[in-house]
Amino acid sequence: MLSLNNVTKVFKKYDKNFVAVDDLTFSIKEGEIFGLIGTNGAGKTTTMRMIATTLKPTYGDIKVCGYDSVKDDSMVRRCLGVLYGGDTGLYDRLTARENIEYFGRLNGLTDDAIKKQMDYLVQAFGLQDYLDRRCGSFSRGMKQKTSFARAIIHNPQVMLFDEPTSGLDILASEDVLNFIKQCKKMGKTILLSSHNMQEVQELCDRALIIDKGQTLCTGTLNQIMEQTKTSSIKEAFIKLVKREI
Amino acid sequence: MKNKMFNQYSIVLKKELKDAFRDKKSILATFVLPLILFPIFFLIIGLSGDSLSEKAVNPRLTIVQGESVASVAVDSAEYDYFFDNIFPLGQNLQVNYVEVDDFKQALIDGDIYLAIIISDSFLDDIANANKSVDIQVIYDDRSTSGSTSAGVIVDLLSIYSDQLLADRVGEIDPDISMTPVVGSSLSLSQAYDDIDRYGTDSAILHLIIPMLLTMLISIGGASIATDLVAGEKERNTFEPLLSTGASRFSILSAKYTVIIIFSFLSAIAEVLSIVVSMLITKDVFTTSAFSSIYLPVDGIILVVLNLLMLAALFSGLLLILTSTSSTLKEAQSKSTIIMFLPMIIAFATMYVDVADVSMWTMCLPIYNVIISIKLLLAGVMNYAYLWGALAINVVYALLSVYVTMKTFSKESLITK
Repeated sequence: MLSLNNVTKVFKKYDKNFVAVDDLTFSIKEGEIFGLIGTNGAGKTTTMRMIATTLKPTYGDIKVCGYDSVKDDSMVRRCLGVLYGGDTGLYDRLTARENIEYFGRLNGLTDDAIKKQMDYLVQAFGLQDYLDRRCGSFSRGMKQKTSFARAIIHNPQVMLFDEPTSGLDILASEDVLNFIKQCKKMGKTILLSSHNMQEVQELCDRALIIDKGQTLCTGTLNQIMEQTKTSSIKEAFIKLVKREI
Repeated sequence: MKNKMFNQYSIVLKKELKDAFRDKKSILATFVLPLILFPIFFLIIGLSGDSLSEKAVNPRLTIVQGESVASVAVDSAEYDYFFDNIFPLGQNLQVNYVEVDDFKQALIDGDIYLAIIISDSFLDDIANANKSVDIQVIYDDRSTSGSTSAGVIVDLLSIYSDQLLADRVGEIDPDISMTPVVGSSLSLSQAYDDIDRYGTDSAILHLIIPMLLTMLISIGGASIATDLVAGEKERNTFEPLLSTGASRFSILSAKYTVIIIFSFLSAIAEVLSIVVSMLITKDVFTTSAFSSIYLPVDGIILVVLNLLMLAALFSGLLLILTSTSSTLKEAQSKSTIIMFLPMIIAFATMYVDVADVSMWTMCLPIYNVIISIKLLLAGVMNYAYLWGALAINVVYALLSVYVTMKTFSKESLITK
């Protein structure tokens, strides 16, 4: 469903090359949650952005639902649902319904399809009380739920979560984690970028540990722990990043 | 493919317009302020004028005699003479007499608007038909109320002088004209129909409208432009937007269109504001300013197309600035710098005469649009200049679109 083959990203600044992602290869199956683990600046967000087609890989190729991220970028984006971490980005002067509809339309849905999906999402996330209120007055929880609905209005096959709990309190984080679990139940293919080992341990089937753009280790969580001779992903991560193996 | 792109374009455009029209600050900056600017401006001028007129008919003054700096007493003969013979000649004049110890200080302090200086022998001199009486009216240079009131009093003295002269001459020969000289002032355009000179109202049309119109077309959309990309980045809505099925070109062109629409609406609001102000302040502006103008349709179309190209040029520049900014504040700072460019050129060309225009100057952006409007308003339909300006403005607009597209497709748009 999602595959990266020898993907490299090089940024040029003042005639100097900076390799943000170096020869990255992995694939994710349908209904699987794959963790992309790394410290800040490891290359997680750059990888996410290349998959989301906002950045182009310097080398290698990315396939999403069979579409090439460079040649068929528009089709790739329609297969993707993206949820970025931190403060959820909504248009404050639009209502929750308008925010969700806007993304539905941009992803090619018809009015009928939007209405059908909207009915489902309103029930699923309990949006009925504030659906027609402008988002500027929303609490963080209300914004979070509206963002979830907006990310999956077009029923994407592949979901990207880029540090989705970054900067959130415990309750809001819990909502996000439950939403990711819900997506897995729906059979979505999920790529979760995080530096929170606890949520990786809780959610992911497989993971890849990345540092300074390079793959340090990949496999199921058990395989990673076995390879590093550790009892948790957190320990494995620290050992790998500190190059103690 | 084209249909899909247009569909995405119209979705983004509708959303951006809805979002923008709900933004009270942008609406205030783009429409409300330009719309109310001139009525307020003229109202203030009108109020200042009314206030001055009121002060002129109710002057605070004093009368000083000879070398003294103190006022003559209220019950003095000189005081009575002015109040019985001279001041009553002024229609609605209600003099507020102020007794002061030092009239110079009183003028500086603003206690009085003016001091009437008479000689020690004032009453004797007045009674003597063979002697001319000198009366000085002193007012503070810094005081507008003083100069206005002084004018009123000098006029009054002139009337009294005429009356006195007439009385004296009338005693000798009752058939002599009581008004041997009548002075009046007229402007050239009032006196001769074949001479057309800029009056206050025409000056507004010929000098200010081209300048303001061009400035607002250039920067009228600045407020909304800063929000369109930098604002989205700050609110974390930009990356999710780029992650949708919409192409960057559709998103960019919709945002481009929104800026052009806002620039035009801002300019239209300003023109409406001026026209309404001129119509409602009829004592300052007359409709002759409009009636003397003939606007040919092809000229209007050429000017509007020139304005459109200028709007496209600046929409592109503003989009480049907002796209290369990571926060709203940064975008606002950058757009403030670019706002000076049309302002400087617009002010610099305010007094340029259409007779001094050459073809090469019509290649200068902003300048050529101002001149195009001036040509239209002056009825000088030099089509070579107008088409020349349009051709070069199309080139500028296309260059702007090209550079904006390049900027919008850069990866630094996301990573910054």
